[in-house]
Formats: sequence, structure tokens, C-alpha cells
Amino acid sequence: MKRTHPLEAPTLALALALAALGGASDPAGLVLAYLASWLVIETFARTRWADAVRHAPRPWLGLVALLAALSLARGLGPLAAEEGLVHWPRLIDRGLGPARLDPPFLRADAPQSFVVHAPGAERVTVALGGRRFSATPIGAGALRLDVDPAGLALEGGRTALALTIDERTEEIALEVIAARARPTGLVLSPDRSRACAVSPSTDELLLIDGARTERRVTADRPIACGFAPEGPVVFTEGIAAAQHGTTTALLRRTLGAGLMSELVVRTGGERRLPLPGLADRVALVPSGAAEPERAIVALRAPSRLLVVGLDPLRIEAERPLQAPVSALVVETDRVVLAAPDFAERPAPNLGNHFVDEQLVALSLPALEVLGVRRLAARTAAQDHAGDVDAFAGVSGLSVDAAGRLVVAHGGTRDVAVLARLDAVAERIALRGVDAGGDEHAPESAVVLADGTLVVASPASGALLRVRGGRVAIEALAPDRSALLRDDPEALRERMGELAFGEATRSGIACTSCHPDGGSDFVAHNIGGRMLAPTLDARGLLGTAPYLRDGSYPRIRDLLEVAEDEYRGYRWPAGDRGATIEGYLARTVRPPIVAAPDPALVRQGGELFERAGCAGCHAPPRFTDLGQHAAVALFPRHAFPGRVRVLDTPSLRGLSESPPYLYDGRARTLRDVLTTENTADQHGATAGLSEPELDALVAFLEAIP
Amino acid sequence: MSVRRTGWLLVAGAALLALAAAFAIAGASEVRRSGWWALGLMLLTLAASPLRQLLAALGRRAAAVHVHRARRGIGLTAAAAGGYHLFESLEHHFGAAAPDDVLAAVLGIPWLRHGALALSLLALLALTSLAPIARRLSAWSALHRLVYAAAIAAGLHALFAPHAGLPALVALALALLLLAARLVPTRRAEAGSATPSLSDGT
Repeated sequence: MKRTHPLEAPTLALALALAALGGASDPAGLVLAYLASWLVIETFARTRWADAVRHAPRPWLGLVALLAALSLARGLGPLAAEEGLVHWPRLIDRGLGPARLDPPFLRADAPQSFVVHAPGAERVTVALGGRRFSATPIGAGALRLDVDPAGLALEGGRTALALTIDERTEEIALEVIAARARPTGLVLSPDRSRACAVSPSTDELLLIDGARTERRVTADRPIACGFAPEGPVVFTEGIAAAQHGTTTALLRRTLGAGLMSELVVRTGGERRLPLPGLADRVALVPSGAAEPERAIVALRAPSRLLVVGLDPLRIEAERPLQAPVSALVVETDRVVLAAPDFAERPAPNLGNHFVDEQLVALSLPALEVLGVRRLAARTAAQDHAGDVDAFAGVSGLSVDAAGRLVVAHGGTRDVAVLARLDAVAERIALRGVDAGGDEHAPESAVVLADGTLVVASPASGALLRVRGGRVAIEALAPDRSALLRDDPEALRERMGELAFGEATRSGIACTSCHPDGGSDFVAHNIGGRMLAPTLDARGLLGTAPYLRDGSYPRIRDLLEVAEDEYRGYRWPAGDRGATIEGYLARTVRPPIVAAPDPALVRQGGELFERAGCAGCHAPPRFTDLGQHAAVALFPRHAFPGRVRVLDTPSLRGLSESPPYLYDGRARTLRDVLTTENTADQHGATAGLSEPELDALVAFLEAIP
Repeated sequence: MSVRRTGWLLVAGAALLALAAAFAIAGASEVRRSGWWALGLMLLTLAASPLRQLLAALGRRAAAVHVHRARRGIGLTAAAAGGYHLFESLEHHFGAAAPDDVLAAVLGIPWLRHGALALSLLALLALTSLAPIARRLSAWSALHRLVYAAAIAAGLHALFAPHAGLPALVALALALLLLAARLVPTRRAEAGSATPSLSDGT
């Protein structure tokens, strides 16, 4: 018999050595090294050294190969990332059959929609926390499962969930993310003796004075609070309204098809005003009378400010805005707002991740511009020298007894007090106030009558009181050391949320474009390539790779954008990339409320499969974790020079994320299927009739 | 269990797998079907050596010689199927796209990159399998070890392709298994095992 050919071992050893010396970082590099090695050996085999090559000492060859292999192994991480192999567990999961449930965790502090993947199933129920939930079939083997954790007996950590598909029950491991207090939305009482805030995650109303906080468990999911003549008022999302008092106005966001919302006002009876976009912030105009006459509503998509008369309910004035409002305070004759960008005449901004954060005073009710203060002005090219140390990332506005503006800056962890819009700011720095090492990001700030500055920091679950230069911290949620001991993942999430809102040296934070992790619905020029609408960053878990071209295999790698494009962060911290990934991996989009005809949706689900959409947008995540050639999908579209590859985006929450396609060129889902798919390569939709297109769109809108 | 029984069990297992694969690709598009054919034939080429050793162990030396002789033909057919797969893919997915767009897309997408690597290697191996060229090469067998790299790249290509599922996972596992099967008997042989083997040298 013949052993391994005598030229094979030297070829392999030399190939490994060449690959190690050349720092081969992908399989093609390894193959090239092997080919080069083969050429050398082949050449030598024809010369008078042929025998030396054939009888090269095996132990030495083995040693060379081993050392080279060890050297190459050190670069395995980047190699795996480059080739997409970092997703191998998910690929194997996909190979063995798609996951049953997405996402694989349940937040105990917010309503959540799951997609259950159970092809052919008619009836799917889930037993969780002592209750049973039914899933609604939407077609394509997917079912929608809405879970409101309110009232469920849930503890943090892994739990077993019993999933019953028709008659068969299977257990699925589910991670429950415990609810922790997040004080938010400080509002002063009329006499300024105290303030209120809410903690939506723990269903609490917080009544705060200069020394202590009273915590009251209140109606489900309070979203804001206020003070009526009768006492504190809680605004909730949903039907429940006031815990105290009779006169309330509340914002209830109900989404139908596309981006529509409703303002629900309760003044005795209930009245609804449909709004053209997502309502983001609402504030009542103080009138001195018992019943406010107006409300100011900031819409996120499209960005605009509305003056809404409450009696009768109607829009009195509106003003288009350049970017969504990040904070709002209303006085009797003016409204002051903060936004990452503002222009008297809004126009598309072609700058790269453009941020021109401003405070703007507008008259009431006409919404004329009274004054503007630029907080961290930037050039479009983002090449302004100098770092931002303070006053970036406005998250809250209030007015103190002397009429001064109190501005909470979540991005730079400080509070500014302004006598006038153009006055020099007095700064109260909150970074590093805690000797224990906890970091706090002010979300809102108010000044009580006794001069105490109260600051809410939902990310750290704390209230801060500042008086006479001294800071007292009241922790409403476990502090950093307790989380490190009991729930390190929750600590990672917390640090990630803090890092997500932290301003870079250029003044930009992730939240500048992704408020609350979502989208600002504005198009930005990412990396100088093209103008692309901002993606919603929530619920991203399991949809790698990331960005529209799938150029980032992990979320954490996106920190590179902050480091390279925005000059990094001013203050040292741990691994921001890993913590931001931990934060985003645990975020969920709010459930959409779409109520199309179930039969139509199911017909659309069948068409979704028949048109081949499910081949790439595979349930339950509605993505194949892959990338595709841009010209293969849209051969008739002229792509900008560097756009060659497109990531397969997840279709979850699709109805909330127009415009569509990589550059937002499709305004509606129907456009995606018709005018933007003329080559019929992005799903076989050319042969669909109008009713069939309606059904397919209904299905796409029903994906939670 | 006797060598003979193990052998027939393996053959029966392979036949079942082939049947399952035939069912799996029955409804697929022409692009996918041609790709599965190419991958299947590559795996069959890799399986030739272990099969030959198995037949020899079963005492079927004549059959073993046939398998050995068929290997080159199967390999060339795999390369031809790969070429057809490339043609179908370009025709179906890229149509009249500019060559530089196609090249940029292929190089930018991991699963297409793996496929391009596998096809390039197959083309090289097919070319150097032609008798006049093969005869001139001293290190022919060293070059043709790249068939394992080609099969693994093709397996990764299938696994990363959209919604490939279990068959791709099985194909990649088989490629790795056949590579392992190739390494183990070699070691035994070096240790002085009496496993009969037919030369695979030039």
C-alpha cells in the first residue's frame, strides 16, 4: 500500500506557514496560500531538490504546521465574523427547524407580541404565569400571540412556558426579564411643593417632595401624571384614566393600518381625534382654570407640532418640524421644545447623521417662532473641531418658579438652568455624583418651591435631589452592586441603555436618531453612502447581520460608528458595544394594533408563501439572517455606487416602519409589491390581482 | 458486528440519504436543483475513497477498482454540474446586470463568496484532471486535496443560502465526515495497519 503522497505533507506545512505569515483572514486567503505552496512544491519537485522535498523530515514539517496552525487559530474570530460564521448556532437552529417562538424572552414590564411558528396549526395556546393566552393565526405558518404581563405572577430568570399546538403540548424555555422601577416624566404641582412622576414598568405613581417619595401602585401602564384641583392624576395607555379627579386628558396610541394614531381626551365623556402620525409627546396648556382648553401634541411621524383645542376637539394649528421633539414644556402663552434638529422651513438634511440640537420657543396658539437657542451646533460635514462636554441630548424641560427653563440633558448627564433662551446657562453636573459608581442619566428635572432640584433617571431607576450643591440619591430600583450580584444581564442592559443615550464628543448619541431605541422616521446619510430612513433598533435580537447592507455581524460592532465617525466618548467606560448590544437585545417594539379582516390576512399569508416571500423572510423572525445581491433583487433600479449588497430585514412590526426598502423609496407596502418590483425578482408578485395584493398587504401589516 | 454487515448498513444508509435528497430537491427551482446536484456529486467524489476501502475490506476488490476508476468521472461531472449551476444562477438572479456589479455582490455576500470559491476550485481541479495536464504534474495529489476545501465551501454556501434548512446542514456534516474519514485511515496506514488501499497517487 501507499501512504500519503510524499509531496502532500510539505505542501500542507508550507501552505499553513504562508497563510500564517500572510495573516490570511478568510477561506479564500487559506486556499490562495495552499495554491502558492503547491506551486512552490511542484516547482521544487522538478529540480534537483526533488528528493529533499519528498523526504523532508516529518517531525519538522509537523512542528511548522502546528505552529502555523496555532498562529492562524488566533485570527479565527475575525475570520468567522467575516464569513458570517458567528451565527452558526442560529444557522444550525434554522437547519434543524425554525424556532417556535420569537422573541425568546418576555418583559414583565410591558405588553409584548410574539410570533409563534407552527405551520398547519389551527389553535395555539400558551400557559404562562397562571393564565392562558390564545394565539391568532395570521398565515404562512405564523400566529400572533399578544401577552400583557400585567397581573401575571412572574419572576425574573428562566421559566418554562407550555405551548399547546392543537392537542399537543410542548415546553419552551423562556427568559423573563423582571420589571424594575423607572421614574419618568416629572411634573410640578401648581404650588410647586411637590412633583409627580410615573414608573410605567412597575405601574406606579410617584409623589415626590424635597425629602422623600411616596410610591403608589396605580392603574395599568401609567404614561404620565399631572395635578388636577382634586389631586394627582395619572394618565394611562388604554381605557383606564384618572385615579383621582374628574378631568383628564390622556393620550392613547392605537395604530391601525399604516401610521395613524388617536388622541383620546376624557373630559367627562370620551372623544377621539384621529392624528396623521405617531403621537410622541403631549402636554396640557395651563390656563389657571380647572379644565385646560388646549393640549400640545408632538407627532413623531411625520414630525410636527399640533395645537389641539379640547372643546370642541379640533386641531387649531400645526407646524411641520425637521425632527421629532425630544422634550416639551408648555406655558400659558408659549411652548418651548427641544429637538435634535430644527429649521423654520423644514427641508431634507443631507448631512451625515446630522444633529443640530436646539431649544425653540413658539407662540401659542399660532406657533410662531419666538426664539431659538442652538445647543450643540454642527456643520453638515461633522468636522467641527472641539468636543462636547455639556448640554447635549435634551430629554426633559420644565420651568421653575422664577420662569427659568430647567433643561435635563441625558446625553451629557447634566442639568442646565436658563434665565432666558439666550442667557448663559448655569450647569449642574450629575456625572460621577455617586461614590458607589452608579451612573445616572437625567430624563426630566424640576425645581421645587424650596429650591430642591429633583431629577429623574429612569435608566438607573433613581431620583436625585440636588440642594446647596449636595446630591442625595434615592434608588427606587436595585443599584449597580445589587444587580451585579443578582442579575448581571440586567446590569448589562442598564449600562447599555445609559451608553445608548450618552453623547459622543460630537454631541450625538444613539438616541439622537433612535429615541427610546426606536426610529425618528427621518432619513440620514449613513457613512456618506446614501440617504436612508432610520431603522427601528428595538426587537433586533436574532436578525443579524445588521444595517441595511448587513455589514455588521453583531450589534456591538456598531460602536465603531460612534468611535470613528463621532470621535468616541468623552468619558471612559467599560465595553459600551457589549452593553448596548445587551440593551437592544432585550428591547421590544410596542404591540401594533392592527385589526384587518382575519380571513383576508390568512389569504395574504398563503400568497406570502406562494410568491416566495417566505423563502427569505422566513417566520418566526421573518428574515433568513442573510444578505442578497442588490442587482439580483431590483435589477431595474439604479443603485448608488457602493450599494451592492442588501440585508434581509425582519418584517416584524412592518406596518410601523414606513417608508420601505433600503432607501425608503417605497412609501407604502403596496409600492414595494408593485411599482418597486417591476422585475418580479423581489417576490413573484407580478401575477397578483388587486384583491390578492390587498390580502398580501393586510398580511404584511398584521405581522406584529 | 462484522465488517460485511457494517458495510451493507452503510450502503443502505447512503441509499436512504440519496432518496431523501432526491425528495428534498424535487420541488426546488432549477438553480437550487443544479446546486444540489453539484454538491451531491462532490460528496460522492469524496465518498469514493472510503467506499473503495470498504469494498476492499469486504473482499470486493474488483468493485473497489471500479469505484476508484469512476471517481475522476464523477468529479468531472460535479464540476460540470457546478458550471451549470453557475450559469443558471447568473441567468436567474443577475440577468443583464453589469459584470462588476455581479462580482462586487458575489464578493460581498458570504454565501455567494463560498459558492464562488467552491466553483473556482472545482474548475481548477477539473482542468488539472485532464490526462495531459495531470501527467505533467508531480504534486497532483497535493493539488487535488483541495477537493475537500471545495466541498466544505460548497456546504457552507448551501447552509448560508436563504432558507436552506436541514439538507444543507447534512451536506456540510457529510463533507466534514468524509474529510475525517479520509484522515483516520491514513493515520492507521502510517501506523502499519493492513487496510488494503489502492494508490491514489499520480
